[in-house]
Amino acid sequence: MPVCRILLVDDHQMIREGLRALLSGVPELEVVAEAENGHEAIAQCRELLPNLILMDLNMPLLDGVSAVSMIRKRWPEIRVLALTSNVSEHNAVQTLEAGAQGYLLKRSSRDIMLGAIRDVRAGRVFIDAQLDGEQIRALRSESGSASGITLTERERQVLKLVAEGSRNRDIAELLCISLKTVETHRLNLMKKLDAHNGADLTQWAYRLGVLERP
Amino acid sequence: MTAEQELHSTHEAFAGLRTPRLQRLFSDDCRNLLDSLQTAVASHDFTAAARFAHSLKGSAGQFAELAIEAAAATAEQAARNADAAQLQQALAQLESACAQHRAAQSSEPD
Repeated sequence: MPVCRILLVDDHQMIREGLRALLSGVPELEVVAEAENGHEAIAQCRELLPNLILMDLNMPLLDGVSAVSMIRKRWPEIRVLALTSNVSEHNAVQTLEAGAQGYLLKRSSRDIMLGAIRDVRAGRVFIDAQLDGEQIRALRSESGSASGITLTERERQVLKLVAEGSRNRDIAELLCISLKTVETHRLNLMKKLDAHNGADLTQWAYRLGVLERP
Repeated sequence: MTAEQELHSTHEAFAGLRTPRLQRLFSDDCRNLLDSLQTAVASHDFTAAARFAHSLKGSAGQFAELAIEAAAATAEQAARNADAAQLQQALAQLESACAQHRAAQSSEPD
């Protein structure tokens, strides 16, 4: 098998250091770059076209699920193995539906991680054994989307920031859009989700996997 | 498998992370995140507290530091629930787990 060029994406530098250490010495794997968030990941994909991404899901600015979706649409040949500390079947479904081929827990050992990479490279779906694989398969087969609700990438970003407690003005600044646009996205979200206040939106953020449940 | 064998097996599985350099980086990272978490708790910033606890949970899980991981998970949950009392309790557990880790590190030869 040719060398697999890997992009590491995680907002926590310690995790990236650990991943580099775990992957070092494996001849067929080469870490070619790192990114701290979804935006940087997309930029690295454009520049380097890696074969595989190890992608954290809970990141600032552009969350992992949104990034997976955007990357897989633009570069379907890039495989994505999601890497998370969140033991949640629901989040796994969201991530796989977004286009990832695997869902691996950060607490899993090196051998399990290497096995996951092998599976994903070979085109197989990998689900960490600490999750209920049957439940995930059942949830995925229930419908095309676990919730039946489809949000645009921008709506997911706004929803995440609202749920994290950001004010409209902060969201506008972070996403480089106008305050009015933020308000429009927020209104659209409330209509789509039948949400009546910020607390409702936060609940939806968890349900839709935009925010990871602890 | 005895508890000792299980611990040994866990350490074997994470051997790539047991280098002195990475252990030192991990200890420093823990201390920084714990400091940030303490500041967030003191200022009742639950959003920031959840974020720092989540980061700590992730790296502790990766490094198989199970006590820190468990305490960080409890702290993250408490912060997300805006439960100040539970968060204080979890923070105390976390401080204790991090102190034990530091003590274990300093007793190991370089």
